[in-house]
Amino acid sequence: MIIRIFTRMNTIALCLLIQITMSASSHANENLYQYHVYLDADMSISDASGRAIRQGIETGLAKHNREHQNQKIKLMIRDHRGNSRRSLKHLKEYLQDPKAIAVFSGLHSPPVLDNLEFINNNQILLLDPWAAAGPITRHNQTNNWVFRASVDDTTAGKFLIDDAIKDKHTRICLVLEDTGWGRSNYNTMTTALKNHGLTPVCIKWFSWNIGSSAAKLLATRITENEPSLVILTANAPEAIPIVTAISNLPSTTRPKVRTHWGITGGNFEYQVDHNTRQKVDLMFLQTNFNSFLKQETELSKSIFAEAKSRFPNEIKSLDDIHPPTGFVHAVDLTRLLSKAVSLSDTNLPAKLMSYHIRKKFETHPLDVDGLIKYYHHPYRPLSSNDMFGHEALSIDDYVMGHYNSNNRIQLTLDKDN
Amino acid sequence: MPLRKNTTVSQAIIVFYAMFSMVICGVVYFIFLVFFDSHIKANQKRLIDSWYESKADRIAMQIENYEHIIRDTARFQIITKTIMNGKEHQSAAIDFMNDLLILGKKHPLELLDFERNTIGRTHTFSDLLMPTQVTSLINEPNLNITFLGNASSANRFIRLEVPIYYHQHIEGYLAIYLDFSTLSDVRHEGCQKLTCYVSFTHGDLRLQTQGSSNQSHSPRSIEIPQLGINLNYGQDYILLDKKSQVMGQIITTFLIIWLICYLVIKRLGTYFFVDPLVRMNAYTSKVSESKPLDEEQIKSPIFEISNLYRNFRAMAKKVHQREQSLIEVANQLTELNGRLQEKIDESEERAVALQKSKIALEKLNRKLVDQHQQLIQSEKMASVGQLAAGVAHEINNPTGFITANLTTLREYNDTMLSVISAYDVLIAECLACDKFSLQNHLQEGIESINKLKDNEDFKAIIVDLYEIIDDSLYGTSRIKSIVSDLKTFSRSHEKLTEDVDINESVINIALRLMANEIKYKCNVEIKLGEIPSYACYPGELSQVVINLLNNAYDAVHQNGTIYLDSWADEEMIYIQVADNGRGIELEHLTKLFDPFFTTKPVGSGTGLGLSISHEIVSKHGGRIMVESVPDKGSIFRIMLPLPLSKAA
Repeated sequence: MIIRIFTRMNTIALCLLIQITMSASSHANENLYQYHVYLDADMSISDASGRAIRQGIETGLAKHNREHQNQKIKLMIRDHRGNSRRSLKHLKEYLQDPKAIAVFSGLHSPPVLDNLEFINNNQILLLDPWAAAGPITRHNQTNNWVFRASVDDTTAGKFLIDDAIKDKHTRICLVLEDTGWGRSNYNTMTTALKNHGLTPVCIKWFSWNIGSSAAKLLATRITENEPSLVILTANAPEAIPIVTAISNLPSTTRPKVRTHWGITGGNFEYQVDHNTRQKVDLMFLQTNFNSFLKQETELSKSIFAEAKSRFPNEIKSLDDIHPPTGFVHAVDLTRLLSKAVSLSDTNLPAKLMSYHIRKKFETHPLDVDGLIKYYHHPYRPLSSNDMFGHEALSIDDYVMGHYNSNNRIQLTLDKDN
Repeated sequence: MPLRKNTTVSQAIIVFYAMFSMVICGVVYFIFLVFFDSHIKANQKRLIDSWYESKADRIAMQIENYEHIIRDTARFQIITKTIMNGKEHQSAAIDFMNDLLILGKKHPLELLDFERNTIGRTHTFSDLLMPTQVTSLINEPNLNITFLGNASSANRFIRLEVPIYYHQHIEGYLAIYLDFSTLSDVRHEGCQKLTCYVSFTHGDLRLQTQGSSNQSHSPRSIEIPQLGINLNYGQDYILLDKKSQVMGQIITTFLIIWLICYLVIKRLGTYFFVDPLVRMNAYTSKVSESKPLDEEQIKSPIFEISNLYRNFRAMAKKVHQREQSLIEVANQLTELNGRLQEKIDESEERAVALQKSKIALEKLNRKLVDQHQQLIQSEKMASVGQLAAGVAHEINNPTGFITANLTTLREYNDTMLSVISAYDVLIAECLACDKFSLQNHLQEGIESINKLKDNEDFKAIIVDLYEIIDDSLYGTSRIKSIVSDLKTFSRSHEKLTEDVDINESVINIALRLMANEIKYKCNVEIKLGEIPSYACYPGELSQVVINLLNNAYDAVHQNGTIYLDSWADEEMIYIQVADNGRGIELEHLTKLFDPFFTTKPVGSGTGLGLSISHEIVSKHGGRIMVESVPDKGSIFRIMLPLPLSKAA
């Protein structure tokens, strides 16, 4: 705990230091950057996710800035702490910035969902490396400015169900957060089960800030239906008591647990120890960044090297990139952005650059090698026939992951090995 | 007012009451002027100070309470959710705030985002006319209190705003609007009557004023730090000074009223109480001096007094009547006294006569006692007489054979004398003869003596002689015994004898005395048990037994049986004489022990036997019981208590 606080303080101090350094030299360096990209994410509460995304963007931008001296992009960091209104404020601030070309969102879907209309109406190019809510990329078919390189809830539920059935689980209990996110997952999961000719043995809803007592009661209620598997749609704060409660059930009635990847955005792995996680065979949804984890490709190696040199104090080993999801997605999205920017004329005004990027994204093959996969033509214009037009990843890119004893994410591929 | 000599009690009480009241009033007035006035003023000031201090505390406490509640409310999930991701939850949050009761009331609430832009307000809020003038009272990161309005505004509000935290970060604000007019209504009750002044200020800004400030106020200020305002108040204490003047006037008015009351009470008191009492006093004097009572009516409007008078008159009349009758009775008494003296003289004479009669009676009594003794003795003698025949026979019989024996003895004496004479002759002859003839002579003499002896049957005489003497001795002993028994029996004033053997000294003596008489008529079956020695008058008891045997003897038929038993248990000695004779008639049984009662023919009995027997047994502490069945027999049982039971 103390170490964590210390780490957090270090991080905050570092952020401050960077900001102070940057602002001190802002006048001197301001002209070096033609464009600004914003990171509007929760940098405080789910700070790990924010930090990973920031590291990914900055790592990606470092390479871009090195290669495109006339189109240098500077990252502007804003912390909305999960507050939609603060996010809106930042978006308004973005609109006032003549150099702003895009905004990276963070872990949370609600700030994006709440402001989607504002985003699209004001033509704010929003790049989503994490937030998984289905409607984010589908709000407006004709004027949609949101692009995602992350898990899409419309397919996440299906993947979790398919994976469970692959593991021969038929008695599945759905435990969901009583929010829009939870409800959208409920729809996709029940549909997926229906496709397999199954129905959930139980469906349990819980509220935010669920405490340990309520979680115990919830766990007991779950056992009444004797499920073999619980699929949990929760973020880290709620997943901590619920998974703990399920792990404390008698082994005879204790189901296994699969979760949405929301649990990886906080400090779940530090609050729920390895033994507890093993008791419920905890696995969660991840995208397949195995090549990066294994450092199998040149790109992986060069990105890792870039990250180490960019963040010498923060990143010393692969384990320091945590959670890797945010980093990997942010890198890939930044690389896509970089490619789109590089395809435009130099000295293009920021507003026009946003238009340009969106157009290139939707219409031009980008052929970018990413950490997850090779992106030939990742995005397409959104239409009623293609509701996945703004999704760079698909269900094929999903895998299951788990925490190892060092609290680091390992993909199921590794587990199998 | 000095007391007159012989003042009536009522007047004295009225005068005392007047003096006492005046002194008390004077003292109270003086004390009030000197001490209480300043004390009351100081107290009232303190009271007012503490009133406003408590009110200031109350406001502070209310503000604190509201602050706590609003902080708690800000933690509700619905509030947090709305602040974070407002669109989805906003209407639910407004509904929640609309329904929220804080300290039992609905208050206007406002939800603001992190930049203090309004997210939502309660419906009551929109109805209120919000003043535009806003004064910040407290502005801290954690608490923001503002005052909306000014001293002249129709509506004045205190706005409490607390931050809404999400994971230790301020993400929005929740504000409550409190009606300042209600909160600040602090004036005490007296404030409406007296001049007073209350205001709330923040620095130089006046938030609210009640009453008007003027020079006579002595203003005080209490800080309410929780609200960042001061409560100022002033009280017109000059009014308190005026109070003492008012008090003087009240006391003077009271004195005048008291004087009027006194005069009225005195007049009415005289009419109602004093006059009737004075007249009653005069009437009482007449009664005490036994003067004739007139028919004067004492009238009083007071029921109790007129009732008292009426009763007193009735009482006085009765007293007078009783006095008259007492005099009459006294006269009669004197007359009676004379007569009584005469009667006393007469009675003294009678007493002398009575004394004489008494002496005569005593003589007569003694005579009677003597006669009674004589009677008893004569009865005894009669018994003796009755015994005499038997006793005479008993004596006569041995006397007869003693006489016969003596006659025979004389004859035997002659024979013996002749033998002795023969021996004497022989001896003389032998002395006179020689040696040669002695033998022959002696031989011849002895032969002749033997011959004589044979002739006289000397041997038989010798043998018979012993018998005759023994018989005679037996006869004399029998006579001696009978005489002794008679002597024992006939003792008239014997002494109490210790350790008497009842069987021997009472029963056997009686039997022996009666034996001769009884044995020719009936059988006597005697069963004498073991009886302990007994202290008694044996002769008298023998008399009883003889009497009973005598009665039994009379009762039995020829060859009847008399049963004589004696025995003892732990308590009693029993002597029982029973017979199988003719028994006693039932009507005689009750009279059996009456003196002079007898069923025997006149001259045969004295009728005193059983009466005396009863007396003797009673003297021993015992009793006689009789059971009798006519023609079957009777049982007489003497029961004598043993000493232990006697004592018991």
